[in-house]
Amino acid sequence: MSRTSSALIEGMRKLVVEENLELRELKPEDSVEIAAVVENCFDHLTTWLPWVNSTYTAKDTKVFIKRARILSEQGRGLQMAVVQNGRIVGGIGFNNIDTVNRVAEIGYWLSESATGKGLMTKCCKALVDHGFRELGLNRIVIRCATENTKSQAIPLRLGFTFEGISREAEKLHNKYVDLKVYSLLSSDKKPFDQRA
Amino acid sequence: MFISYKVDDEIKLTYPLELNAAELQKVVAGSNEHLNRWVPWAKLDFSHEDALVHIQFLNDMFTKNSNFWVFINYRGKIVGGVGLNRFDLDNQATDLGYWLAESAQGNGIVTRACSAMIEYVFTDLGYNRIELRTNSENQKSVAVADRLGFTKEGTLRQAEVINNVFRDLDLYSLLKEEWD
Repeated sequence: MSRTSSALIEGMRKLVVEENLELRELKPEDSVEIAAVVENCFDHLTTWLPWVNSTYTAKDTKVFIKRARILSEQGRGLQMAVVQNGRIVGGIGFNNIDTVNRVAEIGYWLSESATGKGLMTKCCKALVDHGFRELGLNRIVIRCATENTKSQAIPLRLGFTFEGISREAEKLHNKYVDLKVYSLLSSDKKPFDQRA
Repeated sequence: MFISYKVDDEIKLTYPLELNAAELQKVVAGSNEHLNRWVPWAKLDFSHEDALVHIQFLNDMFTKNSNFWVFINYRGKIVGGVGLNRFDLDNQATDLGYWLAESAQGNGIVTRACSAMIEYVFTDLGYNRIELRTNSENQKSVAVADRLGFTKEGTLRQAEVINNVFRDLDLYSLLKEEWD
C-alpha cells in the first residue's frame, strides 16, 4: 500500500486517500453541506453522535469548524471533511493532540449512503499514517461506544489494541454510554504496513 | 475568593499563591527522587524559580477554567497537591490527580484530601465520572485509587512521557452512583 499523499494548501491540510477520495481540512463554508448530509440521514447519525440532536443546525457545525481551525493553528487538533467525488460524505479528525506525550485521539462519522464500503477504514488509515509520520505522534486512540460494533470494526481492522472499557465516559442524548478504548502505537506492528 | 478549605483537624486544602514558592521548592526538592519518578514537572534540580513557574501555571489554568489544583497542607505545612485536570462539561467528567512528599506518606493524607475533592466534584459540580490515571508500578498511588473505591478499567499503553521515557498508565474511574 502506498503512502498517503499529504499537502498544505493555503495553510489547510489535504490528504489524498485514493482516486476520488480525500480528506481536507474543514472550512466554515462546509457547514451548509454538512448540515444537508445530517438532515439526509439524521436517524443514522443521531444514534452515536452527541452533536446530532434535535436542536442541531448548520450554525453548530460552523462554530465547531471555527474552533477547530484555532486548535489546528496551535497544532492541537485537525478536523477534516471526508470528500468522495467532490462531495462531503463524512468527517474525521484528531481531537486533543497532546504534543507533550505525543498522543491524539481520532473521531469519525460517515453518512448512511457511504457506509459498508470500507471507506472510513481507508480514511482512518490515511490519518493514522499522517499522525505517525508527519505529526510525530507515538500513540493514537480510538474510543467507540460498546454497542457500536460497526465503529469498533475500524480500529480492529487497522491493528489497534483493545485496552479497556471507560464506564459512562460519553453523554449521548441524556444517557451515558460506555466506551471501548483502542490504541495504536508507532512501534506497533501494523497490518497495513506488511504489504508496503 | 477561595483561599483555604478545612478537610479535618490535620488537613487543609489551600489555593496556590506565589508566596508559597519557597515552601513548595523545599518540599519538592526534599522529596526529589521519589517525586521525580512519577510527577512530570518535579524535576531533579527543582529550584525556587521552578516553584514560582509551577504556581503561576496552576493559577493560569484555574483562570482559564481548565485545571483546578490546590496544595495539601498537613499540620500547617505544604506536603502535596490534589487537583482536577480537565472539565468535560459535555460528558460531566473530570480527571483527578495528586502528589505527596515522601516524608508525609503513610498518614492517609492523599486519601482524605482526595475524598474532599471527590465530594466537591460529585456534589457541588454534579459531575458523573472521575478518571484517575496512575502508573501501575506506583503502588502507593494504586492503593489510594483502591481505597477511594475506584475501578480499574484498563492499561493505557505509553500514555505519558516521564523523564523522556514513555510509560503505561492504568486507567481508573469512579462514578457518582458509586460515591456516598
